[in-house]
Amino acid sequence: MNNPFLRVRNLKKYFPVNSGIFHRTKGFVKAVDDVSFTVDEGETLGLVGESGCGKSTTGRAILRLTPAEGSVAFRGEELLSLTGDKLRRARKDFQMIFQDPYASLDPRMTVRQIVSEPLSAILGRGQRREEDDKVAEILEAVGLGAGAMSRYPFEFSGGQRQRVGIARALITRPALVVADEPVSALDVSVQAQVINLLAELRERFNLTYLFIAHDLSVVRHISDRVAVMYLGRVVELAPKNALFDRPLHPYTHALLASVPEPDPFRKKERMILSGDVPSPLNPPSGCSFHPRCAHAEAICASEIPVLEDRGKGHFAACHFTRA
Amino acid sequence: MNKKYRFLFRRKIALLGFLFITALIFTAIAAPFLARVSPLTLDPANKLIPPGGVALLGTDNFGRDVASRAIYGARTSLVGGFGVVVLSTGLGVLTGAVAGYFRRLEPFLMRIIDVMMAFPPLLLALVLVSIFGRGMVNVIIAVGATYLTRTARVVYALTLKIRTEPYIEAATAGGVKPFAIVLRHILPNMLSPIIVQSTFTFAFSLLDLAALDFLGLGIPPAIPSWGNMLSEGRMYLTRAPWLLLCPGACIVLTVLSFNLAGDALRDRLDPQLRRNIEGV
Repeated sequence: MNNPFLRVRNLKKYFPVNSGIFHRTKGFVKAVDDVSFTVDEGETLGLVGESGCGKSTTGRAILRLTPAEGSVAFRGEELLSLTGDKLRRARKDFQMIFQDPYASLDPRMTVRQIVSEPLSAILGRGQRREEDDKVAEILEAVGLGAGAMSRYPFEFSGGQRQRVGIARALITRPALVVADEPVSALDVSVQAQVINLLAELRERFNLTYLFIAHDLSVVRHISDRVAVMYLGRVVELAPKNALFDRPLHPYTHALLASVPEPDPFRKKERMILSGDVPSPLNPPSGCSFHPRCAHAEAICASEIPVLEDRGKGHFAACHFTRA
Repeated sequence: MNKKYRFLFRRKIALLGFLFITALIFTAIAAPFLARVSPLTLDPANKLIPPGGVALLGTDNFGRDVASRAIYGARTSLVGGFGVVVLSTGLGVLTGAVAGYFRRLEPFLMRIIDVMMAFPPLLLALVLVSIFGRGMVNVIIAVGATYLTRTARVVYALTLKIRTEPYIEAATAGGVKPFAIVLRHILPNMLSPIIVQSTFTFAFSLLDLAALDFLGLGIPPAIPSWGNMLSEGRMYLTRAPWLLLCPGACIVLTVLSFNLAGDALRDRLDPQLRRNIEGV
C-alpha cells in the first residue's frame, strides 16, 4: 500500500470572490478545503454531500478540468504538475462521466463523432474502419448498438444519451472514471438501469470509480467505501456498511436519517437539521458543522477536528466520536 | 438531385431567394453579353427618356442606359458586399472566438475592437478612405472594418456562453487541443447566428457602400454601381422616378433574397431543425 492507485492529498480549490468596479478580491469561497483520500484499484469510492459542498469540484480538480492546489497522485504519477501534451496524453487513463446527459453532448455531432473524439484526440487519427469498429464495440457494451452511430444526440432519450456519455468516457479504455452524479438527471426507472450498467462495466473493463452523488441509496448500491463531504471538507470516510450502519459523524447521521423509509410501520430515529448550510464564503469557525450540530460544545467552535481513523478504516472528523 | 442540395426545394420562398441570387451572380458575370449598350456611353440627345422606348428601363440625365448600368451595378455591388462580408466575418470570427476562448488575449484583442467601435461607422470608413484613397479594395476595407467590430462582439459573447457548456469540458477531458475545441465545437455551435449576422452585414454594407458613393468617397462615379445610380438619380426624383426605382428595386430584392437564403441555410445547418423539416 505504499503506492495507492489514486491518492489525493490536501486538495484545495479556492474561488476568489471579486466585487466592486475594480474587481478587488474580497475573499475566497473554499469549495474544496484540504481534502485527502485514497482509492484502491478496482474499488468504487462514493462521494456524497449536499449541493455546493464541493464534491463535483473535487472530481473536476482530480481530472485536471479545473486548477487546484495540493497533490493528486495517480498510479504514482503527480497529475497536478502535468501540462500541455503530456497532460492530454495522460487523459487516456482517466475519464469523466458528466451529470447532464443533455448538455454534455455536442448537439452538432453524431454519436460516432462524439464517442470517437477522445480516441483520435489522444491516440491520434487511426484508420477510419478501425475507429468505427472500436466505437461500435463500445456502443454495444453500453447497450446502444452500432446503429446509433450516425444519429444525433437529440434523437435519444436521457438514459440513452447518458449511455453515449459513458461510451465516450470508456472508448480510450481508462483505468479511473470519475462519475459526476451520472444518474441524478435521469428518471428513477432509468437510474437503476444506468447504475447496473456502470456496475457491469466496472467488472468488464476493470474500472475504478470515483462516484459522486447526493443520493445515498444510489451510492450505497454501487460503492465499496463512502466519503461524506460538508462545506468543502471530508467529514467521514468509511467502508459502506460501517458508514450506513454506524455513522460516527453527526452530519452523516442526519443525512442518513433524511432518507425516506419505505416501511410506514417502522419507527425511525428522526434527526432534522436546523438552519441552512452556512455560506462557504464565510464558513463557521472550528468545526464547520457546529452551528447545526445537536452535540456541539465549546471546543467545536474553536478547533477544526481532524479526520482520524477511529478503527477498521473508519475515518471521522468530529471531537466527540469514539470508535 | 444530390441529397445535399435537396433542402433548397423544401421551401418555395427560400428557393426564390436562391434563384434570385443565382440570377444576380450570373448577371454580374455575364454583364458584357447581357447589356445591349455600354453603361458608359453618353447620349445627350436621349437623356431622361422614360422606360419602354429607346431604352428598356429608360436613360439617365446623361442619356446613359439605366438597364445596362443596373446590370453592371450588380457586379460592383456583389463584389463590394461579398468583400465586406468575407473580410468582416473572417477577421471578426477569428478575433471574437480567440478572445473569448483564450481569455488571456481578451484585454488586448477586444480593446482594439472597442477603439474601432468608438468611431461612428461611416466616419471610420471616411477616415480610412481618405487615408488610402478611393477604389473598390479600399472601400471594402473601410466598410469591412466597421462591420468587423460588430461580428467580433457578437462572436465574443457567443464564445463566452458556449465555452461554459459541459460538452466543451467533455472535449477537454477527452484530450482535444484548445484550438481544435474552438474549431470543432465552438464555431459550429455558433454558425446560425454568424450566418444571420453575415446576411445582415451584406445587406447593410450595400447601403454603406452606396452612402460612400454618394459622398464621393466610394467607387469613382463613372463606374456603375447601384449606390452611384441612386445618389445621382436623387436629383430627378419627380421628373424621372425610374432612375431611383430601378437601383432601389435591385437593392431591395437583393437584400431580401440574402435574408431568405440565410434563413434557409440556418435551418439546414442545424441538425435538429433539419430532421424536422426533412421528416426523417
